[in-house]
Amino acid sequence: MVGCNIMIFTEDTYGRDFIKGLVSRLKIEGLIKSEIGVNVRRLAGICNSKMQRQIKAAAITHEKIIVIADADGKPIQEIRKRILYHVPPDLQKIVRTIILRYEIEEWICISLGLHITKKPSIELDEYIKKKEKDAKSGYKKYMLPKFVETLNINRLENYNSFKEFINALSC
Amino acid sequence: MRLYRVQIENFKSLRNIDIRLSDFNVVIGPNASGKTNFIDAFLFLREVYSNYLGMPSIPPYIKWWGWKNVVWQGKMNLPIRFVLYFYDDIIDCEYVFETVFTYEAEAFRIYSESLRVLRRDGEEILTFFREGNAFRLFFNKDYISRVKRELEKVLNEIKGSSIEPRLARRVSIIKDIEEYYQNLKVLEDKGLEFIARAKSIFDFRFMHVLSFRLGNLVLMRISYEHEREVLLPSLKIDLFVKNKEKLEKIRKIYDGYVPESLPSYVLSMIEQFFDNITVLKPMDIRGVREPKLPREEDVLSEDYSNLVLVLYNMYIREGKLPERISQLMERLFPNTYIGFRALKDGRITLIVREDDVELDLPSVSDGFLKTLGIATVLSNKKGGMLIIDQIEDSLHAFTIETLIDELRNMDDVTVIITTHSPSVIDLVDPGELIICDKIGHETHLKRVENPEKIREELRKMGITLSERWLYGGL
Repeated sequence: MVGCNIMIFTEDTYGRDFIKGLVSRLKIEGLIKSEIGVNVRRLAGICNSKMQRQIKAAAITHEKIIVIADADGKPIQEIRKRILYHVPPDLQKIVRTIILRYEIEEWICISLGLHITKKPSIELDEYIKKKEKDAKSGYKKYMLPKFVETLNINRLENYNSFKEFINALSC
Repeated sequence: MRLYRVQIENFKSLRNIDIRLSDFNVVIGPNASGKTNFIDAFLFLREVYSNYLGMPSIPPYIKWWGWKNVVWQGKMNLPIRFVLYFYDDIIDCEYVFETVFTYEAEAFRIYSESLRVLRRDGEEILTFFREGNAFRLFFNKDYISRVKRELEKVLNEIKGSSIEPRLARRVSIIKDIEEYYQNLKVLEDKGLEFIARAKSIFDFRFMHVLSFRLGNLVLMRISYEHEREVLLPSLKIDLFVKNKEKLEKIRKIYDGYVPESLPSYVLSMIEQFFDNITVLKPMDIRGVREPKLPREEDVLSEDYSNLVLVLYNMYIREGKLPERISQLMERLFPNTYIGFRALKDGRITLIVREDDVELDLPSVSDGFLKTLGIATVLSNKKGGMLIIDQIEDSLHAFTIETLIDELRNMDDVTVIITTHSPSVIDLVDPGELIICDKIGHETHLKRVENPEKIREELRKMGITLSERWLYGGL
């Protein structure tokens, strides 16, 4: 279907701005259809009753809802189940969950060719400090949206959660 | 009289908006979408027309530092246009007032204005138009025939009168009326046209040199350009009045003065509307707390900074604060008492007593002072508009609830509030919302298309109105 609307929920506002920028880039590069209307909002919190109401409200005007959540090293299926528990049964068919093994920074690490051995934000922090010796500080969460421009999409295309994300961005 | 629709062109980010207003309106939208610009549009109109005495003494754009800051995209040569639609339930008529402002040769100008008075079936009774120095006035045929009939009636009564008043005076009146009658034919053929050195349609009231009542008529002599005169017979406003009680109320509010001819009455109503636009923006708390030297201040400033003086003047006049203020404050802040104290240097400050503890202004909460400011406006608001920007600032949810109920129940006042707060949105009805958005460089305003459908959805899905707006759009 062309011209549909998708709502993406992220866990924090840095993630929201990163995803917003990423969707624009994917549209420019033709990886997703430009006709698709994408809105990105911050999730009230997993297991918060507001999340259920956010999804219900979004379902009124969006054909699909994507929830992006961090697993923080916990089993992915468990997190997925936890989210879907709060999704009303009649809306489950339009809700896609994208669970990141740790957090969204892992996409940046993969794109930079880093081998993830610890929390991706720590990995990224060390990488920046090593690369830019004069850098006063390494990676800070507010920097996340800036990484959209330099993200190596080719490297990411085979990464599970990113692949799922691209696939979900169609109606 | 109520403002029920407004069209604005080229004012700040409002490139072209057309929005209907209800009695209570809640403007919502993201930051920088143009909510405050919408409010500023009314402030600008107030700057131009409030207490109009021939032309604003200070250019109306000074508040915004220059014309380029009030015109869309800073394009200096664009005209700013407003069309305001009013409904006056006293005479059951609609007024459409259009005004165009320009900036030419480094000067602000009210380029043109028009005022149409329409019956509810859409039939135009009166059209008043001004462009530059040229005034034109048209009445519809039905109105003119009514005036004619009244003139003939008066003429016959005088001619056929058996009483013998001073002959010279009677001849003079008959001559006058015949002159009016002649003029009516001109009015019927092509409308009344005259050139006057005037800068606004509201200058019309300064042109009356004489008007007198005769039966159901008001006969007006309008002077223009070096002692030239036009004669304008008009029906008395009483013939149009559908709501006498309301007219009496208006007379009381405006110290007994309500013009008697239709054109003057309508102009006066619109002028009073502009005089009664009240705008409250976020509070200047340091300004409020600063003691002030006593002086006459009746109108609360946009930033509340003269709050103490306005209250002090009320207190001096009546020996106590108006009941509306005391009652509202008592409901929201029980067991508090408001008083005043003169400092050694003669400045006045406000004191608040909480049970036995006396608090000076620096110790009084921001929320208390903001509520007191709004209560002050509510206590003496007479018609017009009340606009409150970011109502939720400094206020507790329960205080907001109370104030919203107060604002919803104001007589003859069009209320507009803006908010970012989901808790405010959840207190109002979908039909009361105005949704503000910025697309490119233009602000767009719209109402919820089908409020009933939204209400039904909220009920069914168990979600709130703010959730519906933030995640589902409206």
